[in-house]
Amino acid sequence: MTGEETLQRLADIEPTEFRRLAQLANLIVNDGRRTQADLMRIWSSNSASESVKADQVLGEMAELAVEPFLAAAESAGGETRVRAVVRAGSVYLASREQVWLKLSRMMESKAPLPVPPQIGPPQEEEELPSRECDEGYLLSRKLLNVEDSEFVRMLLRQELLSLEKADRDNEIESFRRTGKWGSVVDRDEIE
Amino acid sequence: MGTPYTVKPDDTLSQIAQRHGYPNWEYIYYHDDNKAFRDKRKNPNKIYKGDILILPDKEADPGTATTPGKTGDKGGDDFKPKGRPRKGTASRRTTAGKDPAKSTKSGTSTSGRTTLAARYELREIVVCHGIQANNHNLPDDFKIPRSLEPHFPDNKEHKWERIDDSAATFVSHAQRVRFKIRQVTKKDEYKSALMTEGLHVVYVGHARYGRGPCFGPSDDKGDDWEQGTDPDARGLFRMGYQVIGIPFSEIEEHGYKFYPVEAASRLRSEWRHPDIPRNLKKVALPDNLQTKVLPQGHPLTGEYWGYGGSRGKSLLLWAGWKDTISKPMELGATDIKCRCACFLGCSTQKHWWKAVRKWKNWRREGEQYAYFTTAPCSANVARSWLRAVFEYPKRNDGDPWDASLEWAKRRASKLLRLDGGTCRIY
Repeated sequence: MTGEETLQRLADIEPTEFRRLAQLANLIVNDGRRTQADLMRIWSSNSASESVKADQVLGEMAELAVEPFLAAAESAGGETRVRAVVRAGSVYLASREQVWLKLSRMMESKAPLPVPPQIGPPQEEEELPSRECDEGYLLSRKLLNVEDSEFVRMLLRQELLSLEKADRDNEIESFRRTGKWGSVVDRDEIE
Repeated sequence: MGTPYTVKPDDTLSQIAQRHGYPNWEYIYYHDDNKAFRDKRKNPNKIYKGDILILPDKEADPGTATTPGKTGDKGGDDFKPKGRPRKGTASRRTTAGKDPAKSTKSGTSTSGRTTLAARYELREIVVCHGIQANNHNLPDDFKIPRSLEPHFPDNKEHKWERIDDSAATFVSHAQRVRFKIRQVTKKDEYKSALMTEGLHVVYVGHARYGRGPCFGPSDDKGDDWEQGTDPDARGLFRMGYQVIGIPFSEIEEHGYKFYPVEAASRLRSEWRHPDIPRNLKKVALPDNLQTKVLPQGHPLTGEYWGYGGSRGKSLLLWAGWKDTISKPMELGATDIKCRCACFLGCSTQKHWWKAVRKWKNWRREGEQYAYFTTAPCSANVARSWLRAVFEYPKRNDGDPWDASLEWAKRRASKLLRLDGGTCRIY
C-alpha cells in the first residue's frame, strides 16, 4: 500500500469508526512487516555472511526491529531463540536511550503547555496546567516504575501539578541530580 | 388479537400484568396490539380509568417475554424458557425455539421488530442529574436523551423512542436489549436508585472536590450546596474521604456554611484525600468566610489546616462517607443494590473509588460494577458513556454485564479523546 493509498483510506473513515481505523492500522503494520519478515528469514538462515548483513540492517532499524526479533524468538529454538531475544533487548535499549535523551532535555524546559480545552458546560475542577519539565518528570517516573498502576500514576500527576512552580522545580532538580524520587512522589500510603 | 381490558381506578400497568400472568408491564405496553394505547399514553406511569388496553394472547405468541434477572421484573411460570439456554444465562432469560435475531435478519417488518423488542431483556438506566447538570440548563447537545438521538437513527439495528424530555426507550436489536432511560434530580431519588436491585445508575454532575454527588435546582445558592435546605432532596450525598481540601474560592463562590478542620486536630493519614499535601499550614479565614463556620461543640481557636498550591489557597474541611451530617443521605447508610453505578463528575476515580470499592466493599466479583472518571470533565462524559453502552454490537441479553460494560468503557474513553479533553472512564 503506497502512502497515497493509505491517506485516501484514512480520509474515507470517520473518526468514530474505531473498528475500521484498527483494520487500517493492521494493514499498515502487516505491510510494513513484510520486508522485516524477509530480513528475519535471512537472519536465521544458515548463510553466515548474509545473516550478518541482515543483522546489521535490522540493528539500524532500531525500534522497528523489536517485534520481528521477538516473533523470530517465538518460532525458533535453542541458540537462535536466545540470540533473537538478546537482539530484541539490545535494539529496545537503544530506543530507550533515545527517549531518555529527549526526556532529559524536556526536564530542562520550563515552557508551559496549552491547557486542554474544556468541553461543553463549565466544569467544576480545572485542568492543572503543566510545563514541559513536569511532563518529562512524570514520564521518567512512568518509565522507571512500570509496576505503578494507572491509579497511582493519576494521583502522582495530580499531586505534582498541584504544587507551586518553585516546589515542582525543586523536585525535578533533585531527581535529575540524585536519580531519586523526592517526597512528593514517595507516598507509600497510596495504592 | 388479545383481549380488551378496561383500566379501573388505581390500576397500574405492573398490577395488571401481574394479575393476568404476564412477566412484566412492558410485555403489555409494548405489544403491537397496544400501539394506539401507547400513542395516547406516552408515559406508562400515567394511565387512566376507562383506558382500553389489549391483553396479548399468550397462546398465539409463544416467543415469550424476558426475565431480566436482577432488574426487578419477575418472570411468570407461563414464560419459562423453552429453548436451550445460553451459557450462564439460564436463570435470567427465557427464549422460545424461534430465534428473534434470525427473524430480524431475514427481513422482519418494522412491526415485527417491535414485537421482538417487547420480548428483549429490559435494562433500566437511571440518569441522576446533579446540581447545575440538569437538562434544562445544559445545551441541547448535552441533554439526555436528546443528545443521543442523532447517533441512533431508527434502522434495523436499533430503535429510539423518546417518551418525553426526560425519559426514553432505546432498543438494540443487536444486543437484544431494551434500555429504558429515566432521569431523577433529587438526592433521595439518587439514593433510592442506588438501592434498587438491577439498575444501571449514572450520576452526572459536580463531585464537589470529593465530598459527593450534589443535587438541587441550578440557581441554588448558599447551603443548598452543602446540607441542602431540603436535606432529603438537595445538597450533598456524602461519600468521600474524611478530610478534603477545598479552594477558598469555591467556598466564596457558593457561599455555604462549612466545618473547617481546626489546626489543633490530629489527622490520620487514611482520612486524608490524596490531593492534601504532607506539609500543611495553619491558615486564618478571611472575614467573609468566618461568618460561615459551623459550630463544632466547643469554642473554635480560629486557626485551621490549609495549604497552598497551583490552585491557590485551600482549606481542609470535614467531609466523610459514613455517619455524616447528611445521614441517611450518605454512602455509609446506603445499601447499594444496583448493578452498575457510574460516578461521572470531575476526577471521581481519585475522589470516590476508595470509598466505593474499599470502604463500602462493593466488589466487581459480585457483578457490582462501578465506573469513574480520571480527570476533570463536563456533561459530555455521560453522553459518551450512554452512547457507548448502546453501541455495543453483540448479543448481550441475559449475559453478565462485564463484557459489554468493559467494551463501553473503552469506547467511551475513545469518544472522550475525540472531544479533546483528558478525561477517560476508569
